[in-house]
Amino acid sequence: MIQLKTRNISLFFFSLLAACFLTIKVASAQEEIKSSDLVLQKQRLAQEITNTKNKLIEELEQYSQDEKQYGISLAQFRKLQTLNSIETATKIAKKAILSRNLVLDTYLNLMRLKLVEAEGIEVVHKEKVLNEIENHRQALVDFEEKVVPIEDRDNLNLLATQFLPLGNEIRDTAYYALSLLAVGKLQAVYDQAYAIEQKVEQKDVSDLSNLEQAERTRATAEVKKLVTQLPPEFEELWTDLAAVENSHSDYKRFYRSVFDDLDLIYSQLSRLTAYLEELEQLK
Amino acid sequence: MTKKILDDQTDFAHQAPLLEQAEDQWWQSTDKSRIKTDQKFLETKKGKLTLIFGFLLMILVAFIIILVMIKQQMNQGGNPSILPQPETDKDLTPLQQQIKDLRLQLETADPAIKETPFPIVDMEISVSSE
Repeated sequence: MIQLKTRNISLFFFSLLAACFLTIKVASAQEEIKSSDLVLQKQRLAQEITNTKNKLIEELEQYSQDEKQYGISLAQFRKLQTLNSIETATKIAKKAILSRNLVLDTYLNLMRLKLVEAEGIEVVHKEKVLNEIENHRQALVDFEEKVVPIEDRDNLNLLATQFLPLGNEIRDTAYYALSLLAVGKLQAVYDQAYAIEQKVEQKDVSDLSNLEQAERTRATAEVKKLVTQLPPEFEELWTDLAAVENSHSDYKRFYRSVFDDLDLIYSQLSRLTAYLEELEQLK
Repeated sequence: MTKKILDDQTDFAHQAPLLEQAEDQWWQSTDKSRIKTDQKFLETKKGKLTLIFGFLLMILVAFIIILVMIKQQMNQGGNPSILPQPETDKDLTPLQQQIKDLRLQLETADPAIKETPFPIVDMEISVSSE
């Protein structure tokens, strides 16, 4: 009877131990997988961006050669007006169109990857531009399918006129993405600076003398002032961008004009970082 | 003859001292044996329980030690599948390190460093005579 009881007790404790061990192991393994997945994902993305950039450079070189050939063949056709020159110009133009397609697709993909990697961009904007990019990439695939079987000049010219609106839309989306990336980069820096400023403010300084504490209070007040100055400036930029988005107006113009504001914000962020460095004796 | 002897014995039992009879009854009521045995400590119920709990405690301690060792090894050696993290200065506090990272982030976010520009491509490639 006693033996049976002791066996039951030991069995219970062993199963309890095994359960504890398994729970700890599974929890720690999950945590490890999560953090390592994130690091690996970021690394893969960075690698993919580098590869895509290299691919774009190669494709641009090829396009540049094809475009040059196209220019020469077109000039010859216009000068000679022979059947042979029409045939040659059509073939070379087709080649240039296809290599332009590759360049545009790779560029859109590069923007897509950069947007996925970017921090500081609101999800609404990110999703919208990513959707646009995906749609344009699909349109490029469809266009390529139409171009490949074409051999005659008239059909090629017809497709060329059809491409024009798509090309403009792609350019607009590219400038939309570039604008988001430019503003988002500084927004991410501000978000990080804000989080640090909160920590600096909450830091325990009871070990400092009264004089030092008063000095620090004045310094943190200066930092706080700068931190509160920046959000309205970002807000204004995002509002302007949303207005361009809603009115479908010129993203290229917005992108070119936004840099004056960004330079100003950058100098303020730079000062904020310098203040924080000074406060935490990093200088 | 046999009957006679039995009767004699019964009579003899009745003549036994009362004190001894009471002692017998007491032992029976306690449900314990009055015979002393040479049982070792580990063979007793208490001993067995102590042994089991001691064993469990030992396993628990060993388990904790192994966990701590694994954790230390992971911290030192790191997981080979994970890339080296950005360099951290051991003399800096976590807050100082964050500010240092912020400086690096700010440098890469300089608006003067432009993103890859939109490629200059001809959007009107065609074979027109004009």
